[in-house]
Amino acid sequence: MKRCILLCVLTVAALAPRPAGAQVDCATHINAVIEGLAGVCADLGAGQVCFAHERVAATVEGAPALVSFSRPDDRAAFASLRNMQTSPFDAFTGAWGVAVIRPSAAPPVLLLTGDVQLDNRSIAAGALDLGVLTGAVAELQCPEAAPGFSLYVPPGDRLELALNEAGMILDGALVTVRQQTPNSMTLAVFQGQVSIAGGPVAGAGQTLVAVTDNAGSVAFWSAPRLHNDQESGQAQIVAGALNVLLDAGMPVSGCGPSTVHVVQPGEWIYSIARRYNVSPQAILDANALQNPNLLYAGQQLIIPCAGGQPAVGPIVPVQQAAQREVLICEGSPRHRVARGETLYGISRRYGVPVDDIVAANRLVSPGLIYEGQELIIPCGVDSGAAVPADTGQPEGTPAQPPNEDESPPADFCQQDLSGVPPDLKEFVDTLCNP
Amino acid sequence: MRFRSVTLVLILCFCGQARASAQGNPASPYRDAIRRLVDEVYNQGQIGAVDELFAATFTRYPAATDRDGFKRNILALRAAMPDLEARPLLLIVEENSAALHLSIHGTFVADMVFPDSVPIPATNQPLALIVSSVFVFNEQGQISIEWNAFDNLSFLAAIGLLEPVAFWSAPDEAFTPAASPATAQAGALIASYYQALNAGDFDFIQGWLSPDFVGYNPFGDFDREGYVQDWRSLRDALSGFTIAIQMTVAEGDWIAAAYSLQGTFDRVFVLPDETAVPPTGGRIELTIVTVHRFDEQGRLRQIRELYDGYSLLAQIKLVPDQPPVNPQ
Repeated sequence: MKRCILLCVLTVAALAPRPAGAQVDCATHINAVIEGLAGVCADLGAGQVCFAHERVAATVEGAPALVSFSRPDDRAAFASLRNMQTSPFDAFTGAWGVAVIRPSAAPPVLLLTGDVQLDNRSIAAGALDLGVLTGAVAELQCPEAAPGFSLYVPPGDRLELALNEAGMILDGALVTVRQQTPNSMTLAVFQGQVSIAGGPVAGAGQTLVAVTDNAGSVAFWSAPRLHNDQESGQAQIVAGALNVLLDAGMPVSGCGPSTVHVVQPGEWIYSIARRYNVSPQAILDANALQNPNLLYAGQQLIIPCAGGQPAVGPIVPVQQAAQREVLICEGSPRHRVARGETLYGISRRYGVPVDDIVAANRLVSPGLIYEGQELIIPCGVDSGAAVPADTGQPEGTPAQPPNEDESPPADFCQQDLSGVPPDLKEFVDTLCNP
Repeated sequence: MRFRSVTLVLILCFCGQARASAQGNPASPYRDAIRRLVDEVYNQGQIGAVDELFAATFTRYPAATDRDGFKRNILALRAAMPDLEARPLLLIVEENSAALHLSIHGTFVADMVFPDSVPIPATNQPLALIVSSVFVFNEQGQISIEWNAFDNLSFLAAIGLLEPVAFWSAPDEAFTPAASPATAQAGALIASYYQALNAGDFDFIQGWLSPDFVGYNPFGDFDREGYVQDWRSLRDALSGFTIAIQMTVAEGDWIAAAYSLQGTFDRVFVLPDETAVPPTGGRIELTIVTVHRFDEQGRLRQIRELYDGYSLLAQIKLVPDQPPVNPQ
């Protein structure tokens, strides 16, 4: 039976008085908080959670008199955390609750930002259960400070976790999870890959949307979609914050998965340390314990790995690489869709890849074009080069002949078409004899 | 421009006999069940109530959605529109059946998601939807069958995924069935109406519409002459099809009917602007739920016929076959 010794309820400091009319600019405030992370939560140990910025409230199981978690840079053992709430962004006071969690000696780093509650988390064997994410969904004063958290797993590492009762695997992933409405949340992937158990897989530049029931459990996931503008902006913020943490000395890689040890009757810190070949102090640090005699049967201890390796390099969101950026020139043709036309046919006519037309026109579904619809034909892919000059092509005129390299192979054009419907024969003829 | 004439001519083949209508009992448990469906499920998101209100074998036609699928649809709608408010415009009950003409409003603030589909991006704009349904209850008082109609054409246009060609334009007006001496003959009246359409007797049809008649469908609103012409032009384009009335529900001065259409588009369909839509030779299939209001002489005063206008356009090859999503 799980012994629940609720010893300490920390924080919820009174709100600071609001200076009249002193509204904080979103970007300025966010940058200040991120820069401030270097001064707090530096060198966060494995299995620790850190109070990074006002206000954070937490309920911790453990020794109440020995743990303080009410001011920036206060730390507690993640294993002892029962729930945590971070306050929403307040444009008047500048309050914006931020907490940093390094749940184990293994790589993952969580950054909780504003108006988030995580409940009932527990560390099970080999899996991290983040419990149920809920967040307020009132009108945002600052979209960049939307309720949610970020999770980072360095390249080459893998993390299995559960969130809102949905299992998932993160492979070298940098993700943000945001509450969108009371019954939906988004999971945006900026690096690596996220695989939902029994569901979709999302790569860098893609977002999954989950619909939840009133209890917060995930009912189903969407297919991946491309990031929207807000998510693209968030990628930079999250990457910036995590880079600050890494630069401040948080080791995030190299010593493999940590172990969770359940204290047995009669065990003490030195016997446990010998068993795992780590120092007693390392265990105390990993679990934010100050009194080695205050162990109890059933207590879960994170066993850190010995040593460690240098932190990984800078985090660079690859969203831009995954989401196709195309160039629209002044002379980019406008094509009005005729009855029966397909995107493939239009792409061949202008010699422009289908994906580029989809991106230029922000088409949700490549199949969803309709007669009379006006499509912008892009003039290239944005690779950082200068914008091409006006081609002078009139509207609806192909920018260039179809790429010969894209012609069907010879065996396709020489196939036996007997018995094939006339319209299909005509289609094949169009392809083979443009 | 109002896209008037893309409306179906229904040629009737009665597969079910309309029951004799009767003034409904306002205290009906079936009425209470439908009100719970609106209040608890649509408006409050109490998904658990679905298991109480719907039989385990529940099927929603035409998509053959089961009970869990219905729950997913509700969850998806409420996730995308947390302030969703559903309001019955008409609720009528007869024996163990009921009909609901439902108005849904909300602000589309989050991606609309259906399982395994690409999310539809939120518009952060108000969104209005109309749903018409006819329900059948089993002996345990649970909903066992629903015939449902929803217009994807208006929906896709409203969220900016399609260039709007027409809209459902019926006013968001709520009706209370009023006692009518013609109620007892409602079934026979509707039978006559569809039999006349089946026979192409449009003079009879027009004479049966009251002078102040107004008709609504996914392509706009119609006066008496426009409505008849609309049916006539489409009927000329279709042949060899069958309409099967699945069921009717009558109460007071209203009668609802759910019917399905099958036919062949094998003649040119001429639009009001004289654009000719070439025949495809393909089959046309639609499910339509219509609520009819009649006056004391048994003439039709108002018709609200709801069906998927996008599906119709797709079947006559004016738009791609599949919309990105179907919220219902």
